[in-house]
Amino acid sequence: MGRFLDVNLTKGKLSDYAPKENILRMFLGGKGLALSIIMEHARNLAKKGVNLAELDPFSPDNVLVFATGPATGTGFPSSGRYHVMALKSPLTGSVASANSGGEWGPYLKFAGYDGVIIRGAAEKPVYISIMDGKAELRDASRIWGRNTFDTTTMLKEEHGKGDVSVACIGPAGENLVRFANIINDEHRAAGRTGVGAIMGSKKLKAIVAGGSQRVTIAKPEDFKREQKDALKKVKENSITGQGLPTYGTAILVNIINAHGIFPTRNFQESVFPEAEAISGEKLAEKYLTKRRACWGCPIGCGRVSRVPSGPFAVEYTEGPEYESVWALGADCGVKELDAIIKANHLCDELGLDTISMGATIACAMELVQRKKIGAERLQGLKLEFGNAAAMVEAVWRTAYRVGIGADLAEGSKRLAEKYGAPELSMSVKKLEMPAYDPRGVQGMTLNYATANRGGCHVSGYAIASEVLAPQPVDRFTTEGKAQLVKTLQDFTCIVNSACVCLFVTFALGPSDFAKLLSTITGWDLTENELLKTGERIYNIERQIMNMIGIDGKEDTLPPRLLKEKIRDGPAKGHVSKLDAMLPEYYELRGWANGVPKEEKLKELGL
Amino acid sequence: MRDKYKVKEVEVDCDGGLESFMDSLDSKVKGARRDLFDNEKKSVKENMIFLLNGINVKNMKEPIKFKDGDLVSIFPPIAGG
Repeated sequence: MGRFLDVNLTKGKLSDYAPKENILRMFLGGKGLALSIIMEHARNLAKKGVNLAELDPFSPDNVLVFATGPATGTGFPSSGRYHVMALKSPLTGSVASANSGGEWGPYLKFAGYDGVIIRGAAEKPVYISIMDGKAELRDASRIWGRNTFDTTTMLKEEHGKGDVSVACIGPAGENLVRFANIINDEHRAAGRTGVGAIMGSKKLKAIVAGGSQRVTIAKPEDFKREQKDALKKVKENSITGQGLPTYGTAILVNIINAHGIFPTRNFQESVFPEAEAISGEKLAEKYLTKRRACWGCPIGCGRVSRVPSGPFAVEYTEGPEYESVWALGADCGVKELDAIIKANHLCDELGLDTISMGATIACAMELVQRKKIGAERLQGLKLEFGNAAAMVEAVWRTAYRVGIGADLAEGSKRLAEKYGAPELSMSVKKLEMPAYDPRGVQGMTLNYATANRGGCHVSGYAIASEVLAPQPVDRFTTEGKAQLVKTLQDFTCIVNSACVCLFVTFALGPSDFAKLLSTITGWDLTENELLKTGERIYNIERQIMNMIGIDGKEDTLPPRLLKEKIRDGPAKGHVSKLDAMLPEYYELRGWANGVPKEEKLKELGL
Repeated sequence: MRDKYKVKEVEVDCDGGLESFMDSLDSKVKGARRDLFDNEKKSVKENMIFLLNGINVKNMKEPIKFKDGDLVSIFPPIAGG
């Protein structure tokens, strides 16, 4: 663990970078290690007099880091993941962060590298080939402009079909859509915060990886034993062993709707009367063809689906996942599942984050509803809630920045500001919130407000404790939520730094992680050390955000959620009670106004 | 559960108590009581998500009392996100 390819695109220079052993133990890998590299880069920029608050995310000075973790590719259950981070997100202006599954992470390791650092910007389109320890920059002019599927196919044909994995951007990334993603293995996405647009700004189309290098495990025999135990737990757990493999993530539609926390029509309502029509059950009944698991995953939640006929026909696609069904469905008031599948497919093909795409269309629909966007700008596109065809067309227009699509490509916050109603952007730190109305789940209120990357559900997935657990904690109370959210956020940093799927945490806890990671790294890791490492990672991310100029002012929610009561359904009358939790959360974190105090940084070795 | 019982929605009459509800449900959906009800604890089985008008009964302080027109939603252990 610890070999990074350091690429300077401006100079066309490639070199190796190896973080020191003490840095590896402090930050583990994946997200943590990427953050330590970004911090060093940020400090160097600051030394040169660069104002980080004013630094353009599309500037060559922005840095993008792909990082696997110690678990990636080892056979740790569900370890087919990698993390992508950047100093500045084009969407949020803060630290960019995204995570993906599929095969690319393990394949990068088989290629002989643990990560890739991208600095500078190329003059002409390029891609990086990393094959069996040998890396080179190549001309990408013939694939520039292609969608993600064609790009993947062409690069696989050139580099060896079954032996390589491709992570690339589509037209959306090239056109600097602020929430463009990176797609690997055709349908897996490093989805959030616009990391694909950063690749586009650097004229980097793809990274191809493959090879037969061995993944190092310090104590192979001990690892095999721990791995066997962990696999047994994953198989025996009712969620990871049965629920997720059988139904995938879209099964959540009905359960979240039944709790009255399924945001509808841009969070104007919290129950979608047509939820059944877009549910996981309906998906399985009408469109599901088979499953597709990520590398080394015993869960296999991925769905393959097909719309055989009609205006939204798709021959082969994957998903849609729960969050995508919600964003392109209920949030836009759309009840046609075939249209949602089509839009989801287009997002993969063009390289767009489904959550931000759907939520931005929903925001535009409310701006139209409130007559903030005029007919002239829409050019006949009827962006009204429930209009499935308009929703699908909006995806195309966004990727190519055509007409109103150029406004949508800026994300919901800039869109709503442009049309004079910033409060209609359902975002935190300019990142669109996903599929849970936090007014009816107070832990999610606190998590959405304080998640470093913005409106993010997977930074501290309180839904697992407040809604899905066998013995859930009361979702309406604020008591105990500060500790719950902090613990979840810290532990998730470990998951994203070890680089395994968050879903295994339904079956495996910090002590299981400590045992498995000890056998992989050879370090004697305890549960306490791991949680401290998670806290360190959460804090270094916040420290970089503070250097950019972001503090507690942005640890908040849109006014609708703080002031407007849920109108109907099981959570009727509730609002997000952030004020009742935030001071305690800061106290537990050792922060003042969203800024880690000196003694906390010292305690964590930062 | 829909796959198993081949039923999506059912109307149930009961005396307002949980056990009566389970018996009535079982008369219409064979095997439901066995899958949902913990006979020893006289409560909903630990791994089931059982909502009364959208509120998880495990978070209720008072014993369950059903009224006319109440909506019960039942889910097996599932997750996503």
